Amino acid sequence: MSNSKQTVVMQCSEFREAAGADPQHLNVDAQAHREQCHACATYLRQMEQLDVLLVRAMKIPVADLSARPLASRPVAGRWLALAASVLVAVVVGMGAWLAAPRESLAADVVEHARNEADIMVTTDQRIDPAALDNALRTAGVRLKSGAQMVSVARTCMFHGRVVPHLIVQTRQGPVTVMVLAKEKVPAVQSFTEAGYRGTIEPSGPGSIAIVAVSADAVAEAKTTFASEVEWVGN
Amino acid sequence: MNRGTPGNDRQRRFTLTCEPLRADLFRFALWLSRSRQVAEDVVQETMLRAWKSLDSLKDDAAAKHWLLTIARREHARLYERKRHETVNIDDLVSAELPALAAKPENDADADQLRDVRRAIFALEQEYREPLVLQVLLGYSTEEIAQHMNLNQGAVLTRLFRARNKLRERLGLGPDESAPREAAASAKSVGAVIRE
Repeated sequence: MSNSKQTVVMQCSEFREAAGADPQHLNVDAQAHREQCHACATYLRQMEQLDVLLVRAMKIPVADLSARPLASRPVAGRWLALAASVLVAVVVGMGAWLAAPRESLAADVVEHARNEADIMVTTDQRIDPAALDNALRTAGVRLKSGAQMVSVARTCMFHGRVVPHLIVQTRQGPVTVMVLAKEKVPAVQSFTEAGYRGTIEPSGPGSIAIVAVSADAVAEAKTTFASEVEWVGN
Repeated sequence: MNRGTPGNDRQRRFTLTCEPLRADLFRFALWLSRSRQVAEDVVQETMLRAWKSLDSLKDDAAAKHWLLTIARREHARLYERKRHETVNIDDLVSAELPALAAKPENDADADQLRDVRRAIFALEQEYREPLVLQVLLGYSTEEIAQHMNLNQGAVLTRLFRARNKLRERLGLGPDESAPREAAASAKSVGAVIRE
């Protein structure tokens, strides 16, 4: 089953425990094992594919679920609150529709950044360069100048694929950067959505999305970060 | 109604920090309760409590964790009331067919998604909750441990078992390796199992 070489510490069973528990965040030992063991690499791919399915399955459209018949509300006294909620939802929905970027990619990037807004904070902490490399490797890129400006590096599920999700610290504030190796855009797209500013730029075989609260932070990240990205392939 | 600046600021803060998380809350509550009705009640109560205690949220960046913690507590409270009503998974599946059949736009694999949703529904809550937190909401294993008041090793074990149960139920076959509780003191998934 295993083609493990003597230098690989991790055993197949250990690798599978790790991959089965958290396939998106393997440490260096597990990644080394994957490189050496074809069977475990296959197992990891199966787990990643399962996670893609799970994300899609769990993301039940909320609009569909909200269409529950009013009569099924368990507490009659909540009719007024429900009516108010519907009114607010309609107003907010119309506002969001009017303000939303027409490109769904931009909207999805903003939604993702907003869902993980807890990590988009100003900090002096910087990510370990090895961890940054691991995250970027999923998209086949690396940074020419290393990790000096990156405080968080995650791999996230986005449009059914694993993509690097970074937080870059600029003088104007924290910025979300997503490296989208499989998302081609014909030209630079700048957008404003839900209080966020952003841009999606063609880069390598795909694109790089940059999102922040401040337009200045986006601009700074474009000049200081995007130019540092080097596509090396998987 | 207070139309002064403090009230407006409070409303604005709530709108910016809490309202965008309503969809996440709903999905979390739905997968936790396996009931659309309970999920809607949980979200309603969670938002109400969040509004009342907004001042206790010291860091807006922590709003997601804060709200999900409230939602988990509210679910436990509501579930205590309703647990006698929901014991049979087949009944649950029948009752929630619209949710199970709901599909994303442009999704050509509706049947497969429905099967996956049924399999998730059938998972025991101790496995379902950490899986939803990790896969849907992007929690790290450490954050799941804090949220569920477990040690990290227990979380890793549950996640491993959850995926194996799903693989089995979806006809993908279980993995032969079993998780070891020794993972408890792990700081990262890979480090867990290196001895």
